[in-house]
Amino acid sequence: MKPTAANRPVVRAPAGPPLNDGHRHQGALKHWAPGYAGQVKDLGRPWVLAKHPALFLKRAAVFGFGRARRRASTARASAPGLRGGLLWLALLSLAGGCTESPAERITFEVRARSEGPPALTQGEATLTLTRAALTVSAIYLCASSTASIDLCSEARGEMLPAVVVDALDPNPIRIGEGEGFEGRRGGQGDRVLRSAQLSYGVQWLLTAARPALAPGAQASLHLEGSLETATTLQRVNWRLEVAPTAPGRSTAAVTFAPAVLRRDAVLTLVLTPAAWLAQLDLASLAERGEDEVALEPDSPAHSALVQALTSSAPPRFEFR
Amino acid sequence: MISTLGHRTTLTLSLMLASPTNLLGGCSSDTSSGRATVILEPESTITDGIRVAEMAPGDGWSVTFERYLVALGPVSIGRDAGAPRRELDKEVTIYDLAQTPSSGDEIGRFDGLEAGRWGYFGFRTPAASEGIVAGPGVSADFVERMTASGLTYVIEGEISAASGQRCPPGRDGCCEASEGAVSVRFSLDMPNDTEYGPCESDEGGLEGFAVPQNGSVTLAASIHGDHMFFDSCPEGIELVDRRAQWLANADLDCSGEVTADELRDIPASDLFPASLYSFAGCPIPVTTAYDWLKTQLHTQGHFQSEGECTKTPL
Repeated sequence: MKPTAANRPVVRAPAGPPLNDGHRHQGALKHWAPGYAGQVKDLGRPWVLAKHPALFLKRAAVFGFGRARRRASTARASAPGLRGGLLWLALLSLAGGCTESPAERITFEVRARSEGPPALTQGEATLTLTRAALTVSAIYLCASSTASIDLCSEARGEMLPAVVVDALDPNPIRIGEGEGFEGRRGGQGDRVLRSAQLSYGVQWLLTAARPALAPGAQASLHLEGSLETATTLQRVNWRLEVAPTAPGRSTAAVTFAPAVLRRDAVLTLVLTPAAWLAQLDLASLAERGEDEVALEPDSPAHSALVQALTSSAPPRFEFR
Repeated sequence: MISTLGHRTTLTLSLMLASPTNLLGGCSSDTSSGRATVILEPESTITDGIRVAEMAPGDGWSVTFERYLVALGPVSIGRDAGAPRRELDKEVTIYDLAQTPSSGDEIGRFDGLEAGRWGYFGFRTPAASEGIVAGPGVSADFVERMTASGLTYVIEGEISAASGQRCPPGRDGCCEASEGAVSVRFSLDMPNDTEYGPCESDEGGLEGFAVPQNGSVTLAASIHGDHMFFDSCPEGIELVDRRAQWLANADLDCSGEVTADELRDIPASDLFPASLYSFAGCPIPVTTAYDWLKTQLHTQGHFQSEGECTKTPL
């Protein structure tokens, strides 16, 4: 046990220097800057030269061969230059095993689509949805096998704005654009995605006393429809706020088959509204209320919907 | 430093560094012989129990464990995550963590290790199967019971409250008419095959361990005991509260004892209100109370007390 405060802003990481300022930007894209030759660089780290051979070679030329030119008038002019060059070559060879090409900053399309029927039947009771609006926000794509505030300290891709998604539309609909670093499979410096964190329009910043709706969000989930039994027909109109349970946390985490983020990648969130309803006790719900089915906070039905979104039936992430 | 050397010396050094051998990479390592002693370490929550003050405010329950059997093995190490692994020469064994000193018990040694960094440590808590052996103080009856059902854990104990109630879902009223002193036993037979590894130490977060030259290092496969009372799945940092009311409420038949079979019948949403519990990031999806216990047990393995391991439910 070691309760420790974590820091994960749900705001965009700085778009320029200073880099690696010592603060922990959990889950946010880190070291995000227009860098050398248009590529991302990480000047705050000692191994930056190993990660960026172009910069390394440039410095080798300046400090090694430049010194040689300055001494060209002496009889032994070539020796220092050769020495400097060889020294840099030697150091380059030492770093060779750790060299990897830098990741490039890219954008990718994010879509959403519904899967499965918009209804659930239990015995004689059927709950049919006519509207299912899910707010998704603060999507962070992670390299770790489990997405978490600790294990995914540096996201490799993200889409931060809150977006309301029609969870009954089976057609893939573009919901926004994500940003990230181009991935690569295999070899040293493998850059593969394995998990993601996301929220449902409610964020809890470390500096806040309680969770709050993200800008542009009205609710996490808005369901409309009807609950019909052999003898009753009741209206369903539920609005839920699904919040993180502690400051700095995301609301849900998902894992998926290893995927590579490419320039032309499309991330599709597959939503399964029938699975959200699966743990509801429809007969019990039908007894609560007359014209409209009530959904009290923290009731088993409310908890079942929240737990479906956060554990048993969160969006499925598909990459193309 | 190099600039103070003669040209020939510097040139020679440069050529040596740039030699093809060096280009092939690989760092030289000391070949001295070292040793790693592996211990099984129960968290103090298992050996000492959990006091009311260590639970979430208002929960009011304390916990004692009488029996905490776990199947363990193999334990393995490797120079790095991709290198061939060495397994501890030890049969898969059932240990009783409630009878193990909180400082840990030695379960084996790796001898003849190269000094230097070893990047991989991992272990498995398997489902008991034929060939598993009894550790100290574990009776043959339990070996047979765990083997017959493919169990990883048998956890028995009691939760007690000076002023509490058991209020099972779906029942009109609680088991007790009013709050008072109450105890609930639990006897939980759980399959929970899990691979832990690579593991990293708590200090510094480096994966694996270091073997000193001509020396020894102690490697602790640590099992935490309180995760079943967590209100969320620990993900690296354990940002959690402990709550035991759910286990009291799981006594569906008000018999005074909760079993794993009872947990299978209870929807998670009936015991774990969304305002208190988060299922985000749990190793397996949670739809029943049994799932909740199972997913929490998948997170209990650690390294060197608090170090994190990658957890893979099998």
